Amino acid sequence: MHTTDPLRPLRQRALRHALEDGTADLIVAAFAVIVGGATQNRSLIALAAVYLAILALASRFLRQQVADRRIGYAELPEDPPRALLLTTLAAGVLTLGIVALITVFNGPIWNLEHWPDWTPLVAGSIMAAGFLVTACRAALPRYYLYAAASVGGAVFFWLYPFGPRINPSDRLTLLFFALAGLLLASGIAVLVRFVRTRPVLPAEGHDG
Amino acid sequence: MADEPERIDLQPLANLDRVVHEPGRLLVLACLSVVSRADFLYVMRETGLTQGNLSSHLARLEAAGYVTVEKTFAGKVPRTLLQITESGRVALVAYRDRLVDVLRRLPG
Repeated sequence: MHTTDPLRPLRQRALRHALEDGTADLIVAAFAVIVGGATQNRSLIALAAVYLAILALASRFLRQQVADRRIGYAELPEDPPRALLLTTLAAGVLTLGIVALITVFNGPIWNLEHWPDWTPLVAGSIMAAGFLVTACRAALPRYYLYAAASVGGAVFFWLYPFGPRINPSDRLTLLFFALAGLLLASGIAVLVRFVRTRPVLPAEGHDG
Repeated sequence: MADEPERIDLQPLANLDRVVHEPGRLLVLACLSVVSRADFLYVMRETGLTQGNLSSHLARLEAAGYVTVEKTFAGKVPRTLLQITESGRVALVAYRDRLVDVLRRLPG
């Protein structure tokens, strides 16, 4: 039997509300830079939980300053920005885990000589899946673009002949940096438009 | 002898929860049912109700035990946080099921 959820449009609107101001894009961009950097200096990936907590707090602070005063505050059962941060972390950690598994049998772990070229494909697919799920659930076109860019970037940084100056691990880092750049540019554009088109509303009084 | 037309039992319509039945309150409950909690401004924006209308609907829903209203501060700014209660969720689902059931029996 075909059943539809009558509250689906409201759920979609609530999710869109959480991503409407573009601050989530900026926070995920910052985290993508951190994870991308950590693929070069792998001791940093251990600090990911700390970065994640700091960025989750920063996300809440930014939303309070930018969105809550303009479009109101809503707390969702699942927080879309946090889910995107976890996806970014998963993309970095899982890819490095796979590389560790492959390289450990051929000498030192993460040995560049045995580092596969296709790591951007793994990270890009995970990022694309995260963006696509968000895009479908919130019906936000720019997240479809991010998903497409993740796939396109993954294929590009996997196959493009960079030459000897760019080693295989750099390909993974460059993918994260490229995605961060896209998120940053798009996030700033969305944020500027949001602030321009949504005036700060008067604070509510508690006396009536 | 002609067959008597089948009588439709619309009695359940009279038993609909009138607190939920009012469109404004139904909107508020539906809106709050998809979030953990939200502030006054969010609900006002999502439902399209005016401040006065929303306040009066919230008072009715709070009196029925369907929503909780908590006055807090976000920094120095006053904020009214709204949350649907468990009995509010139950009432919303029961209302929807009953209405769907009655409408399904209507001809046409």
